[in-house]
Amino acid sequence: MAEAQLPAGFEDLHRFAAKWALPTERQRNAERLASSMEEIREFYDVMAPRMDAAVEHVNQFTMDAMPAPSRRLFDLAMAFMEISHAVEVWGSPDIDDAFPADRLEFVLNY
Amino acid sequence: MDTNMTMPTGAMTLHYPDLGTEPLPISVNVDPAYFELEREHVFRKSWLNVGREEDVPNPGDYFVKHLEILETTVLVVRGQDGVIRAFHDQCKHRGNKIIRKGSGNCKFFSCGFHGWTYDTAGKLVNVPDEDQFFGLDKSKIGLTPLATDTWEGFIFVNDQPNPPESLREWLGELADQFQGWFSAGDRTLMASYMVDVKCNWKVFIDAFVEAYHAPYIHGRSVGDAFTSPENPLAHLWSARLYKRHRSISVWGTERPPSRAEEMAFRFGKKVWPAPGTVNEPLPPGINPNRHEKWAFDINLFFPNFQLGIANGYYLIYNYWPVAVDRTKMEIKLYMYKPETPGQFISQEYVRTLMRDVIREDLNTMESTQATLRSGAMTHMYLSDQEVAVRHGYKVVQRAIEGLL
Repeated sequence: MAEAQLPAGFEDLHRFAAKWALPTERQRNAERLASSMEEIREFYDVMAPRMDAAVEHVNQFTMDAMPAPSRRLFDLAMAFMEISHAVEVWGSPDIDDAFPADRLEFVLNY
Repeated sequence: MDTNMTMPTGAMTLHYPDLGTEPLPISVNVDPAYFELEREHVFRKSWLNVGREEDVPNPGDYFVKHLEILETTVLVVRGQDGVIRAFHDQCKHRGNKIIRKGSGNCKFFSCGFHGWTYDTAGKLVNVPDEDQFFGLDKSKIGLTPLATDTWEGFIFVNDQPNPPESLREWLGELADQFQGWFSAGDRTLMASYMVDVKCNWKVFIDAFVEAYHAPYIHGRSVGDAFTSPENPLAHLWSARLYKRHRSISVWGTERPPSRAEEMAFRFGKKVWPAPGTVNEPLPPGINPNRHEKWAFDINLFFPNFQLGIANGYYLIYNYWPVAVDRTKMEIKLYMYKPETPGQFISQEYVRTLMRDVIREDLNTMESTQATLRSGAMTHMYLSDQEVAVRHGYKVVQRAIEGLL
């Protein structure tokens, strides 16, 4: 039996885990820019009402002592914040006519 | 006392009669000879911010920073005695770079070429095969220091080993305006980016020291945080100009949060892009008139260190000139240290939005620089709202003419 991808109670988010539960900002940003608006909106619409429950769950732990399924849920919540701007601000995966995202160097590994 | 008429009356530029109001030449942003004058008379003679004390918290901690504008690599190290020093990262044997890159902790620096070894105070302590040399006096060939000092936790270096002004003298009126605010409130580095842009360092700074662009460049994103019917064009509250440095206070307003922003400021503390509200004790230099509709202050420490300060966070920009048409910018956001995963997720909202809003700003620079070279335009026109831009050009020119 495969290890649960996400904590119990979050099975409805399983289908997003492989794509969006990425451990760094650089990876989550890259995934956002490589996705269609439909994919982004689908994740946004399903994840938004689940964010309170996700945060309540991960707040049981500290950042450096989180079990793997909970860490994956944390990464999904981080990805929600990343893609939220595509939905709420720009209406597209990236900013129109923007300074190229891949020229911005990420110094921290959050 | 704030009133419904939010526009600061009176002209900022005319408050400083020696600034002038004339169009300014753009040749200074494309002329390689002017760039060399800036290198000699601005960057080699200024106190430059290279980091913060927390970057080297323990004895033996060090980092290196290559500064093309000084044509050197700077090695910043906290000695075993706790003192922070900076040296040219250069072995005094035949000039090899000792630390190639990065950071770490050690008691001694050994050059990889022939094993010459220096301690963390820069003293040359070991030369392999020393008796093969002729009259070598190790005490005279330690690492070459740069003048180093700290202020409010910020580490500054000066390429002149004995600068004519101490750091505090250099800071002038700004030296006492922040009074320990940076060490209060447990603010820590929570976002850090670097970007390499094909534009002159002054063109770069210009884009970040005025709010006039806010409704346009940030029209889709956070422009509505700086505008409203009472202030549709993002007029500044005030500008304070000094001999070298300058500060502006930017108007800001609440706007209905998006769904993600509402969550972010519920899971964690309210920071950018919500406007700074005066609910934290502020030192005199920040929002000096205590305006309620206040976004943040921008302080530009001549020549290239920008410190944006608001309620609960500060944002550092260091602009490093590489060539007349190339600049590297470091972006560092300091906010409260997250204590829970929820607060971390909250800050991800802030970090990722700020990153993208800065990309909106970055969009103008290379296109501006590219057109400036054509010579089709000789002067730029600066409004009262761009007074900090004007001041920047004037101070650089005064530095080059030896008038500072």
